[in-house]
Amino acid sequence: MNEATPTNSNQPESVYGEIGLWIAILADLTIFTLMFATVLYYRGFNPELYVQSQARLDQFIALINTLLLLTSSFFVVLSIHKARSWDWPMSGRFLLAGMACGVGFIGMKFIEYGDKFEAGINLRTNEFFMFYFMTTILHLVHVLIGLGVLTIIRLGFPARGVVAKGRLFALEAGGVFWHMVDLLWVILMAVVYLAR
Amino acid sequence: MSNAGISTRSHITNQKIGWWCAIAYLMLFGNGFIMVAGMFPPPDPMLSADAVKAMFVDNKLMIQIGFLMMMFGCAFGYVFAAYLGQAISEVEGKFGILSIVTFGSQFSTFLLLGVSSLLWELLAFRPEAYDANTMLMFHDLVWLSFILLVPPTLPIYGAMAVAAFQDRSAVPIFPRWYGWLCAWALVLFLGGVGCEFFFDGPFAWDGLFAFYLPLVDFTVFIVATLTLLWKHIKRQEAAL
Repeated sequence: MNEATPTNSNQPESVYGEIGLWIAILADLTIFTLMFATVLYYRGFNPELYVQSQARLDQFIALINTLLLLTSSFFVVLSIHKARSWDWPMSGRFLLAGMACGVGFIGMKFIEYGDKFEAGINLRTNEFFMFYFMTTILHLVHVLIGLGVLTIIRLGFPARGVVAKGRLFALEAGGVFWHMVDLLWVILMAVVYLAR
Repeated sequence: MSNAGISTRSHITNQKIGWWCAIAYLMLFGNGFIMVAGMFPPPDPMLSADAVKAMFVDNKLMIQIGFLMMMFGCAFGYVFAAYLGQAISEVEGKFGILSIVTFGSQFSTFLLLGVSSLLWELLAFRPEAYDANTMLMFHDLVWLSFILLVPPTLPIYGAMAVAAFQDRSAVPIFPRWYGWLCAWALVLFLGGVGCEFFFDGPFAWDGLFAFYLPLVDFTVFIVATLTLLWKHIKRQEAAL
């Protein structure tokens, strides 16, 4: 089962991961799309409340978080790129850098929630904050799942030289999920933080 | 199977009993809860205490019969839980962690469903005599316990996903796509856990993300599961 050469001819270049993963991701994206559509639908009944409440969100933290996740995705891409040329040590370093950005995202989220709670805002304050907390918490759960998956993948990295089949595959699959988490954040940012 | 007291044929028969028990529990739950007790669509969490009391006074008998059906449904559910745990043990090759989680988590789900059905029975026992505010509290309790059953059920989907992913057999009982389905089902159920915070909107207990999506999610999961289990039974019969 061990393989030391960068031949992975059984992996078609065009499809990363496997088809089941992609269907699960499409299904998850559908659910989030439904959730964002619900936010916009409810917004239509009371746009003023949404605009007023949005003004109380911290756009700066959201921007930092967007940059953190985009950077993180970039590191994961570099990690996969290095793994595909069988440079596992560099791949591992880039993966850790990507994960560090993810941890940073979680830290920023805690600061953001802390500020909200201190200002007396919680998920029962009004309809907007219900959506704000529910969508961001569900997204945060995805970030945690993604970090967990990347951690497991990182722990499975080869100790010099010998590379088991399936490592690259796992890394690609984890990367696909991580990019989805990133994509979801960008849409969430637009719908919850920026929509006017 | 060589040292077993019962024959392979009997073992297959028992699996079929487990499979049909799943159908029985789904029928009893679906008809009892929706058709007889009339709990679909769910009552509005914003209902006043008097409205809740009136609902039970007016539909007393039907609610009693409906939840009695639910309790019998739980009885069949226990058998299905054992069957599903056994199916996972075939994947594991023994009654290992994944099988125990699948069985135990299902078992506790039916136990809790039985308790919440019992509380519904209590509400319908003599609603004329009960104080309306007390009824409101118990009514909140039954619905919250019904929707918040979700977190304790999540290990089922996790364990079954892991079993599907780790299975290396040529003809797996649960193929890899089923593992992804379970993983997705697990995530989708999370939308229901906000129901204790809201009286209104899509996250309340009668809302899109707390009730309808988990219902669709569960339907997809159970149809896929029963289809795969039936195919597995047929393969065993063909191999006799």
